[in-house]
Amino acid sequence: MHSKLPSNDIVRFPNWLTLLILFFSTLALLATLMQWFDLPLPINPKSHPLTTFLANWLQSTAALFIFVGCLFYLIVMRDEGAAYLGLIFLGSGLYDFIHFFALTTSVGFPTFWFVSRLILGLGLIVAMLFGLKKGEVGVKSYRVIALYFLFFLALIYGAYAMIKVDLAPFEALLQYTSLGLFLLALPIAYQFYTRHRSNFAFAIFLSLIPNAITQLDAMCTANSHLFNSCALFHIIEILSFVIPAIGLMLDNANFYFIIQKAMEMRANFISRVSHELKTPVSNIIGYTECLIAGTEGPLSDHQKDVVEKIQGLSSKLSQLIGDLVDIQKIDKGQVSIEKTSFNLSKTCRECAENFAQKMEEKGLEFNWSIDPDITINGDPLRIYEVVSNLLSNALKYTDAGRVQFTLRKKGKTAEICLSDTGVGIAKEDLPQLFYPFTRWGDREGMGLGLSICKKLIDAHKGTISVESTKGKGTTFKVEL
Amino acid sequence: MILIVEDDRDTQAILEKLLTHYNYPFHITSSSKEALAYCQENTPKLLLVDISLPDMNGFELTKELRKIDKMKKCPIVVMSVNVAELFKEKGIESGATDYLEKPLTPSTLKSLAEKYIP
Repeated sequence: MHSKLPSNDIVRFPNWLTLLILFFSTLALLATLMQWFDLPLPINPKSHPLTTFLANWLQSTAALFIFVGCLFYLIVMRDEGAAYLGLIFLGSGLYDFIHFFALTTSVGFPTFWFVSRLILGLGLIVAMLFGLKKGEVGVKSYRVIALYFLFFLALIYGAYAMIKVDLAPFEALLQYTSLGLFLLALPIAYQFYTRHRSNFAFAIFLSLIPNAITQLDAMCTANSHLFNSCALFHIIEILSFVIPAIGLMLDNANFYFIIQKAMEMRANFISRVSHELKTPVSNIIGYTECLIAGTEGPLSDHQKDVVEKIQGLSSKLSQLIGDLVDIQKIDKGQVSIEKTSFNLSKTCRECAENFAQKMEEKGLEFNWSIDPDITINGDPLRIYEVVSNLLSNALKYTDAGRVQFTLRKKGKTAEICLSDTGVGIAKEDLPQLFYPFTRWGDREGMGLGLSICKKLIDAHKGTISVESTKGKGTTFKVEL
Repeated sequence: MILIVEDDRDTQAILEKLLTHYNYPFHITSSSKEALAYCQENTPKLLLVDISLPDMNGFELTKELRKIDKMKKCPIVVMSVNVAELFKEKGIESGATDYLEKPLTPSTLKSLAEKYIP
């Protein structure tokens, strides 16, 4: 309610529902006026414990919904004003629920009706005025909520004090006060709605109409000594809680929708940006290759060295952009996994041989033991990608010691096991390991490799797991 | 004769430099329309076609080219910066001979030329 929602594509409080509520309110008003003039009603709403219980139960449930919805607001939108509104509805609903006991035990409990109505009327006015004054209901501290609790406590003490006195002389006055509060709240709520333009704000405004009618009806029944036929206002009162609940739910649905939209936009943005980046990078590589091939005349050794460095760096950049595109595609489910029977041993061996030299250059002991002729169903290109990703991680994160790479048959599955004596990963960081953009320490990279591995292995219906001790090394296991 | 269909000036320049360096005759067109017109008049030995072209994409161009009688057997290589199996499949359906990631390395270019141009 306190943030501007984009106007298109979001759910608005439906017009037909507004009309339906207005229609019911008019009916209730008519019935109330008929009672006022002591005209017989076509249906006599005689009070029954069950209807009253159901009515009170419904509205307190709605109040609880509103409270939870407002907490969502507080957590997601950091809007404390919403929490305040939620507390008002919750408080009012709870008092109303206690008020149900008025039917079974006569002493004192009708008081809670007034407490509930006063909290709602006064609380809404204060909340909305706060909102109007500050421009936003959400103030920067929990002061409002603290104030509200003070108000709440005062009312509890007030209620207990009132139990002890005979309410009869004040009854009409209290009913008039509540009616006055709701009528006063109407223009304030309208102002509030024009400022915030949210479904919740509109619903609060709308709910004041049945609220006022409830109060009017309660007064009529009290005046016409029909106090026991109080079913009608109990039923109208449900509306005053259900309408804000609906408004709030629609707003929360809109938030969900907006978040989803934002995620979609992010995905499109990444894939567009990476595509736009890829062309110039690929041309940089192209030009450097021209230089190395000697199209611009022979290069000196030093020149060649520099050009090769440019080429290497550009290739790395291109690889990173490729990873971004990849992860986006896997997320969207656009990567097709070819299912063919292929020789996993051969793929792993090729991969290991590719890395043997790099491991040696870094001074690492690299052992591999690969069982021959293991064939599995899957996409050889993708599996190669996974294995080389894991190997390159082992290379990147291991400064000294050894890297052990094994492939063996384990029952019906093949198990690839890669352990290193590298930096290791702390236990509390393990759960985040397979999320994109997670990486450790000062090593370069965007942290996409493992999340891609996980997604590719998932697409093969395999499993990937990790064991690690910080400082001692890491072991990755892939089962296929 | 190698026909290059590519709208990106830099990619054109790179291919031009490399092919000149390796002494292969070539012709550069920057749109599908020009390429189709060129193929009506001449018979290139090898085509390098970019996927994203201003008027139609590389696959559509390949399909159009295959409709010309003398172009039925001509090797057509589709290039793109995006390596995706999806495109690969589409490329094969459209009748392209091969699919390569950009930038073409000098060695791939050389081996392509050696393979198709005796």
